[in-house]
This record gives sequence, structure tokens and C-alpha cells, in this order.
Amino acid sequence: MQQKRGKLYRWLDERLALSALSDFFLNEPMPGGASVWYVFGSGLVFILIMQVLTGVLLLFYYAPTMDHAWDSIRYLMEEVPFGSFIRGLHHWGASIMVILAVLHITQVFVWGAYKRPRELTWLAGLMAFSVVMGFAWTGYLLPWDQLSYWGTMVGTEIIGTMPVIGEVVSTFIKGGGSIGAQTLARFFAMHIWVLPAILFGAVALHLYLFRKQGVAGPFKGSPDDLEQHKAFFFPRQFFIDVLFALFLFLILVYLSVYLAPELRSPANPAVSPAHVAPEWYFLFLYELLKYFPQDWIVVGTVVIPGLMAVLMIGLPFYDRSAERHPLKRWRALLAYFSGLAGIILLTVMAIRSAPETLAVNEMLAKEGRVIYTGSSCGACHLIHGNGGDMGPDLSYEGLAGRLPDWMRGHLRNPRDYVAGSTMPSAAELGLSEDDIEALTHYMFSLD
Amino acid sequence: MPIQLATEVRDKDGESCGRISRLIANQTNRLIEKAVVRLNTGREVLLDADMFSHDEHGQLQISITSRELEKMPAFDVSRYYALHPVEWQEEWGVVEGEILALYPPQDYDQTSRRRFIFGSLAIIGAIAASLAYPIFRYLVHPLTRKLSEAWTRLIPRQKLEEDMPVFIPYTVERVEGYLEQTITRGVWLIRPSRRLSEQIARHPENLRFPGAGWANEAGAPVAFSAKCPHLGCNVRWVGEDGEFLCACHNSRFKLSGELISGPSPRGLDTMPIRSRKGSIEIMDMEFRAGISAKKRSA
Repeated sequence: MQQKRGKLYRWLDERLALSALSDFFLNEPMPGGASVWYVFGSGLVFILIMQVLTGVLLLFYYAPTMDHAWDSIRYLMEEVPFGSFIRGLHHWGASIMVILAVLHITQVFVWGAYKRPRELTWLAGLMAFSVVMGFAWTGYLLPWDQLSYWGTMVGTEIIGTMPVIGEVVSTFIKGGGSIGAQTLARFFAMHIWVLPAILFGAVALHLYLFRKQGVAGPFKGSPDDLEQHKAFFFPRQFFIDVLFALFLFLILVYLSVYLAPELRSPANPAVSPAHVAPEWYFLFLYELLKYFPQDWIVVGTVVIPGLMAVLMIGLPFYDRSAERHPLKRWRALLAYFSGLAGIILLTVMAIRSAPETLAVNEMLAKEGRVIYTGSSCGACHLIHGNGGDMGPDLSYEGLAGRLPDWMRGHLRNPRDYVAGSTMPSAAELGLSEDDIEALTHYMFSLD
Repeated sequence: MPIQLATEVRDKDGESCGRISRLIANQTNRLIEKAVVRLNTGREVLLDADMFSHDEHGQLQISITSRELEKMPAFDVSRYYALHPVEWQEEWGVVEGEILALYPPQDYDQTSRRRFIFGSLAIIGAIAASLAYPIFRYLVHPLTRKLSEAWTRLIPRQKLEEDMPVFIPYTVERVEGYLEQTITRGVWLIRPSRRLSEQIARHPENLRFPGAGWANEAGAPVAFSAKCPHLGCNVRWVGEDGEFLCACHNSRFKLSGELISGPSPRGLDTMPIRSRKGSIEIMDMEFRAGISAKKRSA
């Protein structure tokens, strides 16, 4: 058996030059030896593989059309075995990818690894990073639910504020004047075909350059010492990277099992939800825009992001000293971490300023339904054809975009919220605070 | 024995005259056909490979004298280019490595290296294995479909004549994954004569339906699935010949559904049928094609 395999290997090697290729790819010298600091790049490769795998799997059930996209995801989440798990892996994989990419960039910055001769490696990496953000943005629309629809609305309107080219670019991206069937088709084409092609190109270039120019290695230690302690990428660094991949995998599985991605009600162009927000990694831009009046919006949408991009892209070209030790580059580090802290601060502010949203608890909603019937709410209100018409129709109350506190307060004392309301208060109906909570969940479940 | 780089070369008189400095490959026949010798004087000369021979001690010797060598023109390296190692052939016996680097000392120990390789493979295997079951269940979900047992009314547009098949379109509600839709299908409906009823009842599988708790009554109207049991095209009734024909591969069937000729593995499939309040109802079914047994697929 052993001999047979050896024979087959030799046969293949003669034709494919396997040894030469695997030596080229695996015998990457790591000055100073393998290190746990080098795991981020391989972690990104692992998540990329997971994203491709789960992305292809999602395509087995997803329908990229406006009238079926949401239904197909609902079907996937509720009826297909492990559908919610697979979607969870893809959803959380995106977030982990963004976190890892920022850690990777930060590490390269601190290590001074972008300097000559690795300028192109840095640029190819930034290219890959911007494509990852493009993935995040285009993927967000695909489930075609309320948040993805309205989040994309805000995103494309932001692009529309760019001077001169804004309108053309925004119309091109949307495939028309407003978000609709063409937008979904375009986002799908970008997400499934265009961005992967660019990403694989950028990653291939990045990895080739990584091999060609080698690892920058530790920023301290004598060359002689580092040479004596060097190791090949395979198998020691590879083993550490695989351990890190396992760690990432366990996090992914935990998140996918216990925090399944949400699917909100289907996109409804008539009603925007109470709180429209992009995914967390775009929140800093979203928060930034709160501080610019309309005439100055270009500063927030173009000038500041553009300046950040120029600073990052130009980094290896204006920072040309050969010094790599972080303590001797404290000004550069101070600037980088101030920028990063600013982004984190804006993100935190955006999260804290978001109004409370209500994740409907099915049990409470059911309880609320019983209370609704028991308190004869149906005498005045209509829900999908059942009930009276004295009060407003509640069939789509969950889509009305109300805040949970509005709903609770209104149930406690309707006249505080709707002038001249004839609806009895909670005290008059004999409702407890628990009943109000249950009713609130029931109201938010109506769609 | 191949000529190898850096080997010492002796001239015809057995005197050391230089070393092999380059090998020249023929890229068409993939043989080393020439070699360059760097003479002791520092000059390089190009020689045909057949001018070299190995003596009994393995020493490389050339068939000309040092004096003749000195008279040869200098080798012009600009006429050649360096071949990438990927293009090297095993039988050339080229030993890589004019420029060397230290082999990492800890990687030199193959047994400790192997531990990391097995450890890595085990973890990768564990990740792949833990994904295999969810992915499998996720992908085979369509195999666990439920078959509908709903009845659909047939509405003939004309009065049925005895033993005259009529194609009746009907609509059914189908749930296909996320999509619930009304689709139009059709059957060949026949009001059978007593003789035709007997012919059909002679084959018990015409009255029973695998997997469904229903049997057709003998003498009831007959509905043939329009799907040809060969490979699924629709059959049509050819009135002048008095037979059903599948135009795809020329399977022909009698009025009773029996196969006359052609590649079909079985006769036409009957559908469950019943009479309710004066109208005819069928249970929409689709049967697998290409096998001799009558098996439901949808």
C-alpha cells in the first residue's frame, strides 16, 4: 500500500511537479519561528473557505427575485433541516471576517510589515478588505426583509449625495431610480459573481506576494538569531493556524446555534421600521452623518471616508523609514489607534443611541393573543378580517414601525398617545404590567 | 549516468581542465544535449553531450585535448535563458541549489514534524466531519417530500363518447419549497365500454396505487396519465390509428393503455379516479418513468 502510494505520487510528481509546488507554498520561512501572532491571515483564509461553502449551500434554496427572495429564506430558516444553521454560519462568518481583517491590518501596522518591499502586499490586502466590505453591503439586501430594504435605501442615498457623479453612480447601483427588482438582481450578481472574482484575484496576489517577499518577522532580534530559530510555515505555523481555525469554528457554531440570524418581515416600501440601521461594521459612518447638516453631508459621506482611504493606501509610500519597532514609531501608532478608537467610539455611540427594538417572543405573543381575546379587544379592532371596526385595523401592527415603549405606554393610557382616543386604559380593562408586555409582543408579531 | 553540474572534467590526456558550469536542454525531446565547461582559465565553452564519457572511476572525461578546448569560441550566455525548476526533468539528475539557505533546525526533525502534520489533519478532519451531517441533511431535504392526496375535479368541455379519449386540463395547488402555485396539468379521460373496462381490470395495477390507500372501481371512468412511462414526454391520442403515441421515442399504446411497441418499460399509468355528486374527480399523481414498476414520484 505504502509502496503503491509512493509510486502513484512519483507518477503524479513527474507530471505535476507536486514536490516543487508544495515546497514553494509550504516551505515559507518564518524568521524567528512560528508564532501565535501570525494567525489572523490564515484565520481569514479559513473564514473565506467557510463563506464560499455556506454561500454555495444557500444558493441551493435562495431565489434572487423580489417576489420570492424573502419566502425562500423563510422556507430555508423554518423548513429546511439545518437551514437556519447554515445561514447562521454565513451571517456570523461575515462579522468575524470583518473583525479578523481589522485585527490583521492592525497587526501589520504595529509590526511595520507594510514597509519596503511589501508595499504591494499591503495594497492587495486593502483591496481584499474593501471587497469584503462590498460583500457585507450587497449580502445585506438579499433576504429582502424590512431592515435590508431600508438599510440599502439609506446606503444608496448616501452614495447619491456624492458631488457630480452621485446620481449616476447611485442609479447605476440600484439599476433604476428606486430600490426594486433590478437592485436585487444587481446586488445578487455582485455578491455571487463579481466580488468573488475580484476577491480571489486580490487574495491570490496577496498570498503570492506574501510568499515572494516573505514574512516580515519579529521587529526585534538580530538577523542571525532569527535565522537560527526560523521554521517553515508547514507544519508548525500551520498547526497553530489550524488550532485558531478550530477556535473560530467553535465561535461560529455557537453563534449560529444560539443566535440564529433574524429574518424580519418582508420588505415593505410603504412603511419604514422605527429604526433603520446598517450592519454594525458600517455603523460608524452612519453615526458620523448625524453630525453634518445637509450642506456639509459630503464631508461625512465622501471627504472623511476618502481621507481615511488615502491615508491607508498611501501609508507605505509616505512612511518610508526602514524602522519597524513600534516604540520608535509611536507617532504613527498614536495616529492609527486614535483613528481606530474614533471608529469604535462612533460605533458604540450608534449602538447606544439605537432605540430599543423588540425581538418578538413567541410564547409571550401567544399569551398576548389570549389576553387580546379575553379582554374583548376584538370587539373594536380588526385582525385579518376578524373583529369590529370601531378602532384601527391591527392586521399589520407589527410592521407599523412603532417603538416598544410607545406600545406599552399606549396600552397603559391610550389618551396620552392618541388625542381623543376612546380605547379603555389598562386600569379600566384590569390589565397587569405582565399582560401589557404580552400584548405588546402580540402586537409586534402581527404582520 | 547523467552529466552533473559542478563535476570536474578531465581532457583527453586525463588532465583536469575545468568543471561543468551549465547544462543545455533540448526543450523538444527533453534531453540534456549540451554542457558548458568552465575551464580552469575562467573561459566557458559549449560542448555536445556525446563528447563526454565516464571512466571506470566515474570521472567525467571529454574526447578532446586542452589545447583544442582553448581554441574553441567562448560560450555566449546571452543566446540562452534559464529554465525554471518546474520544467526540469527527473532523469536530468539536476541537483538544485547553487544558493542555499539554512534548513530550519526544528523542521529537520521529521518525527516531531509529523506530529504537527497529524495534529493539523485531525483538527481539519474534525471540522469537516462536524459539518458533514448538517450539510447532508440540508441538501437531501427534497427527498423527504410529502405526497398530496387531494382530489381535483375534472371539467370536461364536451360530453364523453364511449371509448373516445379526451384530453382534460386540470389545475392543482402545488407546494414546491417556498413556492405555492397553481399549475395546469392534463389527463386522458375515457368513458369505457364494458369490454374496455374488463380489459383494464385484467391488470390489477391499473386499479391500485402504490403508497395510496385508494383503489379504483372496475367500470368507473378511466384517466390515463399523459406522462409517457418511457422518459416522461406527453402522449397523444391518434384517432385514425386508435392508439396513443409518444412522439419522443415512438412508444405506442392501446386504448386500454397496454404497450403495443416502442421502448416504454410498461403501459400507460392510470390515475385514481372517483365520481362525486355527478362530477369526476382525480387524485393528481406523477409516476416515475424508465422503470417497469408503477411508482409515484409526485
